[in-house]
Amino acid sequence: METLNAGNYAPLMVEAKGLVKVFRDFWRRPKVRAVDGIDFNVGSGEIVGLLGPNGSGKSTTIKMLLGLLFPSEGSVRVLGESPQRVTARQQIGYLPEVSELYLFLTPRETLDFYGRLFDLKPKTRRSRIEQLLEMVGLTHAADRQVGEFSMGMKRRVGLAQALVNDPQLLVLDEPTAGLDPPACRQVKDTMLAMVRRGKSIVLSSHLLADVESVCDRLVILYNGRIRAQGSVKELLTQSDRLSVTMPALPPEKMKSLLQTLRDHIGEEPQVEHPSLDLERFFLNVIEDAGDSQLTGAGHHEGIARYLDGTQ
Amino acid sequence: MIRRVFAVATLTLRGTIRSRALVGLAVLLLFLMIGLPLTVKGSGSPASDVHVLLYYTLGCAWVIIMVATLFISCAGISQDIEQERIRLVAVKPVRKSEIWLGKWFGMLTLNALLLVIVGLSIVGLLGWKSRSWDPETKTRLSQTVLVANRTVPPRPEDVSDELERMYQIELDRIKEQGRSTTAFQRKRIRGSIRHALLTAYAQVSPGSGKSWQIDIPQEAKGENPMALHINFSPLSGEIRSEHGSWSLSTERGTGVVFEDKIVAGMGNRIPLPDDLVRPGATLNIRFENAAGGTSVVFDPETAVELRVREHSFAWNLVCSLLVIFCQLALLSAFGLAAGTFFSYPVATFVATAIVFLSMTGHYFVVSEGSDVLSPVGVQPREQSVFHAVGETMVLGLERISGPALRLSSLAKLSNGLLVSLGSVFYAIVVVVGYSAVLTVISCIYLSRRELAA
Repeated sequence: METLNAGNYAPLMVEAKGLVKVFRDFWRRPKVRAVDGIDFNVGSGEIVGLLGPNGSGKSTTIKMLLGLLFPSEGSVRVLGESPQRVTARQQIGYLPEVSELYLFLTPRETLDFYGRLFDLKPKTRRSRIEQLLEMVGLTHAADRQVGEFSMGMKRRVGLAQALVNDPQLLVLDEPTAGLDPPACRQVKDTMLAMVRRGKSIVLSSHLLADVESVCDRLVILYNGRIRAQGSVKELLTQSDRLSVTMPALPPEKMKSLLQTLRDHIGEEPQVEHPSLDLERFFLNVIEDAGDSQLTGAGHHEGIARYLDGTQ
Repeated sequence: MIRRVFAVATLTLRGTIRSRALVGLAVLLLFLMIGLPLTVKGSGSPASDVHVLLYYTLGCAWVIIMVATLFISCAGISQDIEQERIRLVAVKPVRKSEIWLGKWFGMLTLNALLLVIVGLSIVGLLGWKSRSWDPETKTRLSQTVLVANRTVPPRPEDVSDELERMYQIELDRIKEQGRSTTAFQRKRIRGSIRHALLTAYAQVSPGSGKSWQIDIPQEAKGENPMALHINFSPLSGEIRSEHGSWSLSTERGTGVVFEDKIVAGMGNRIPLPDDLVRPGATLNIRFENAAGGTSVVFDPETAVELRVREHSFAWNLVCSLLVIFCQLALLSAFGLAAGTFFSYPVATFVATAIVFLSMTGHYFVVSEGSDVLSPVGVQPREQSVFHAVGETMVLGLERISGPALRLSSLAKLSNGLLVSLGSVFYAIVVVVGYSAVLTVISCIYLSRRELAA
């Protein structure tokens, strides 16, 4: 299973070759070519983001990775096997775009049900359920029916069920959709923590900031085809431009420095104060307000316990 | 595998129990169990009350549970697919067969729970009613209705020669009319002629008589009381009337003349004297129709029969509920299969239509078969292609699913007749066989079906 991937030898978690998906109408006539011959790999311990506007083929690609849709052409292998095989699915965690959960179950029952499908031993299942409930901040609502939950809370249950088997490969379809900023941060922290433990993540999103902040590599899709692919650094770095960050200078020194720069580059340099991104600023405000639960202080403990528990 | 099937079964059961549908169903059943015996009145006798309770109340409860089972099972897989909940299950290491079987076992558990409730309600209502019965009534009911009696029919009449002769005449007549017959129609003709012959033989005119021979079973024991059941009708005059005389004897010559009144138009139960009842003996029954009276007719199959107490009523109730459980299990499998192939509304429509046709197609076909026996001179209808195709479809459906869906034990239970272990075993075999076929077909289709759009 050792295959060349992004310049390194690493075990491949996902290997898609010439993947095509054509949706047909009732009479089997081709209707839409949702995915049109894409090739990409996901290596061990990396987060790969599938980026693209609505209808670009992200979700269809993910459904083929999971065996929910069958490729019209090409092949896909997950953990070296066809996703149709039960053994391949043993190591996959999946959070769909919309968490369609059984509304009559409580979060604890939901996790217990999915844990049973993974054949987890009762003791392991019980402890993992408590860790996951703590991690997603739902311990207080663990015995309420999911049908009573807000969309964000359902999303948290969805995330918890995706992690119940401590998967090697996590497939997240729009994981931050419907979540408030602290919860988005939690999801991203969870992803980064998972990757530090050698797990792989396929992330589909059209929220560019989310993808940029966590992904190692990007696959950009449009009209079912890959338009750009590579590491975030490779894709985003403008090698012919340079920015320098330094302490603010007194006006006289600044004027002299700018003049020197003008003489060397032949054009007017842009000067501005760096700013925090809005998400970081918002979280700082909440943290200052002292609401540790919202900002995820408890969440970080939860991640730690979950990760300890699954090691 | 068992753990995953169990997980899905628990989920199915939990989902149904927590849904409002089950609450509605439970209220409806409760209302029916209590309300129907109060509103539907029999002849007013305790036996009639018990019959109403066992046949109509239990029958209605069975129909309600049957319809609910069909609707809930149709939703089992189809709604999981439509509402996309199946996606989270299908990406787990679970086989499609495990999902399907889990859903089925969940439905079976639900059915078992409902039948236990119905069974306990029946027992409770009988207990409540029995408070007003005197000891004599209790004894009589325990021998007639609240019991599991095995029936021993008389030796069949030999009508084969006459049957063949009349059958050939009828076929020749149809041929002369330029009509053709299907194999099924020929079978129906033969059956009708046989029935007509037996009915003719069973007709006794004034001044003549008729005899029956019943072989008393070898295993009949002294502690199990036996009784003769006689049922016949007058051809004219007052329905409930006495006709002629009856006598009993064995091959050893011992005999008795009935002193009890044997009345036409109702079931007559004659307890047999102990000295006549010897295992392995042949019981001769003779009826002499009084001269100057009216002719009477005996049903060829049920006019005279021996009833031997085989088991208690509790046994019969349990066996009867087991047969109903088997039917419900089959309906669950059928509903789940329909839900695997179609969306919920379509699955419900298709399943209901097929079940209805399977259960009633027999009657359509019977009336169709009898059309061939139209009198000479009457212009027969031409059979169109549409007609032929329709008949073939209904016949096929009736043959495939009819035997499974027409398993019925309520008539026997409410008449104190034995619901045998054999019939329970047959029901189990039918359910296992048919369900296995439905499971395999559904699982193959489900594993080839894309579970996302």
